[in-house]
Amino acid sequence: MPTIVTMPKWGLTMVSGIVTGWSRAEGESVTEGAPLLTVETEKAVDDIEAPATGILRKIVAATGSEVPVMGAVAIITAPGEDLSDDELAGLIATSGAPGTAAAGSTAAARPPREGRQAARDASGRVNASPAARKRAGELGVDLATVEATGANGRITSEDVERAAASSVAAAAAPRTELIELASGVKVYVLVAGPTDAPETMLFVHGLGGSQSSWATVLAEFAGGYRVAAVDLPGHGASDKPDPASFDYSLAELAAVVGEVVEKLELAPAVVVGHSLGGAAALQLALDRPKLVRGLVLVDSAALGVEISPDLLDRMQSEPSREEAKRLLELFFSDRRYVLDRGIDEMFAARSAPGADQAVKAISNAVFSRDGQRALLLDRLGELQQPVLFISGELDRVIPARHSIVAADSLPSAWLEILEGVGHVPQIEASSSFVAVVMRWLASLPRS
Amino acid sequence: MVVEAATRTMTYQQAINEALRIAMREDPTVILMGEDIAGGAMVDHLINDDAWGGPMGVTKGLVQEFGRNRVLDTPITEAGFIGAAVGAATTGLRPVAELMFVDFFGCCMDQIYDQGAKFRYMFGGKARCPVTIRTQIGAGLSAAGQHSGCHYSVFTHMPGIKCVVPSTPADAKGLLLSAIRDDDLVMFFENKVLYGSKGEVPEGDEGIPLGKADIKRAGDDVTIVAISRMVNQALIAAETLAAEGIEAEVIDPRTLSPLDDETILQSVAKTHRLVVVDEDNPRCSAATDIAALVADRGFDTLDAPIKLVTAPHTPVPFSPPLEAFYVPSPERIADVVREIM
Repeated sequence: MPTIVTMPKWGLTMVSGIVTGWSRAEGESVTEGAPLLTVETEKAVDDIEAPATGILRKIVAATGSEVPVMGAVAIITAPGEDLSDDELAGLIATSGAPGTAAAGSTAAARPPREGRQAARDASGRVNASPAARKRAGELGVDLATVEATGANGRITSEDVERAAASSVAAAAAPRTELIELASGVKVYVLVAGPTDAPETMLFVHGLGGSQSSWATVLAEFAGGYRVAAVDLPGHGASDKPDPASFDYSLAELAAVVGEVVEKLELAPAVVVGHSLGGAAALQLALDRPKLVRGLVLVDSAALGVEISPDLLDRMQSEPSREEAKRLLELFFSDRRYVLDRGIDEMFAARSAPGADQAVKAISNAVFSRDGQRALLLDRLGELQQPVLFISGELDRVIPARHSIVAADSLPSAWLEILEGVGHVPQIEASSSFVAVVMRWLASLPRS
Repeated sequence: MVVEAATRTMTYQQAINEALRIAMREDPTVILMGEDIAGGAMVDHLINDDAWGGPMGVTKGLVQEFGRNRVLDTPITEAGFIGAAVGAATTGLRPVAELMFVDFFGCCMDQIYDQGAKFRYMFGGKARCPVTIRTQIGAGLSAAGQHSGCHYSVFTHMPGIKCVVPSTPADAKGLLLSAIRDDDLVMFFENKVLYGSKGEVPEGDEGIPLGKADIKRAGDDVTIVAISRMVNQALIAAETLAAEGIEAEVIDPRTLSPLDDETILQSVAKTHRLVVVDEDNPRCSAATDIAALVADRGFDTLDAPIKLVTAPHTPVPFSPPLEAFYVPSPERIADVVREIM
């Protein structure tokens, strides 16, 4: 059976990738798992591995070509398997890239009608059918904004539905926002997912991270939930105010998260916090329970005293590429996740103006050589929200034991320990991470 | 309607014949009367009886089974025998009278409209008039202006009359059984062009309820309500349109009085477009009535103007090319549908 190699989706905002090189030529053998080609996106360059062992029968996307996500880039055949050019063309046509499907379909389909501006009479009344007027009222669509496909420039009910769907899709499409907080500090947020979703989710990264810490999982959640991922002050693309003028305490970070929930009208939101972000999420749930629908605490801080001295060393050191590499080696259990690209990103983030002093200020506020200063374990009993604890079994920054002890103290809480995984399970075990969070979300009582 | 009974292929004419036979076997008060339906009023022997049974052979073989007392040849006097049928119906019989061509209704309208249709109402529900009047409609056989009209709209206009317009052999059989069993005056319009058309017809004696439309073809893009033979024209047009990606829903009301409003309204609510195809003249007609129904109660479901495809407002021409032009064709129907898509 032939295997179609397709362009992967590496992040929520990725729509296409450019093929920058092939490791194999047509007709050569390939091995499952071995690098087959390299692809460049707007953010990164990475290998695509061969999904099957066999012969590279056809390179669909030559070096230099841009391919939409899910579009075919190559076809691998089993040894001895022969495919005609027509069969190849058929396979390529049926692959998932938008605009390439259905080429072989013979069923008659109503030819798409070109939309045009709706006709108006002398008084300016838009020519819309009775059904279109009714539907526009129901869906809150302004007829003046709808393109007409009906005879004589008449807007039909289908036109109204299409216009409404595209505005819903537009609202669901990922976008970024700079939110100005009451303090004047602007924070950067990535927002995506359907506005009429059953739950809203806010993702909060850890110390030295950014919203991109969630890139591997955000698209999965955005399929069914309204999601937002914030850059905390001092991080990512958010403002990095001087510690002299901004309070980088846990309480203040929690207040920022709360303000984001309010400004984006996410309340009550499921707040997903990683490491320091977990502590901020927990603090918020205790301080302002009405804003928080539930908590997902991922390798969270504030649940126990221990904290890796190595982490504190890295945070206190001057940013360098070598320091960035050592930090990632501390985070991941599997060294293969320590990629050059990730090291470069981490170094760039730590070198950004104001970033280093912000990180140091937070580190000093929350941690000390004696361990974590901000401890909320004793207050878990005050929580009114459902909680899911997730931890990598081999986390060297914050021991998994903290999550286990915390979950033990909350009878209704869920606990997931991911085997063989380090401090960043959303990257190292992204599919398990998504699966358990999805199960937990589905178990939430209807609000 | 889901037909689960075993079926046989037969013509529209044979299906009507079978319904008459079943009704006469089950009810001895059912009698037939009309011009030439037995084989000639003056013939008192049954030699050459194969030739008998009305001008179209619809009543063929019935006089042999049921005798001259139940299959009555009448003089060519519509006022007389339609009046006699209405009178017999009010006094215990269940007559099925044949008005050879509907165009002759002018000769017997008092008996139908001012008498039969009003008895139940005027006697406070105590009288009934279980008479069925079978009659031929339709252009297409070059029978000229006095033998080719449809005119069911005239009867639909009048309260107290049920109007049945079957388009298939199966519908003809099932609807005629229900018409005969009905206790009111029923006009049963047989399209003469359909007599030779064949179709699957269920065995048995089950009637099809009056007032229940049939969706002859399902589709999402446009509703075509077609009456009598126009159902076939609409189905041909629908196939042409399907090849262009337009899926038409073809609805056969089957009875114009009572009319199955809901089936039509529900279909238009789905397709947002309505075309009514009617061979009758276009003014104050079944087509305008259905259009008015949807304009009134389905206004907010419409995405396009309601379109009517009908005969022109003239008598039926004798000239074959003109007659062909007169009757709505599949091409005209398809053109009108395209116009509103």
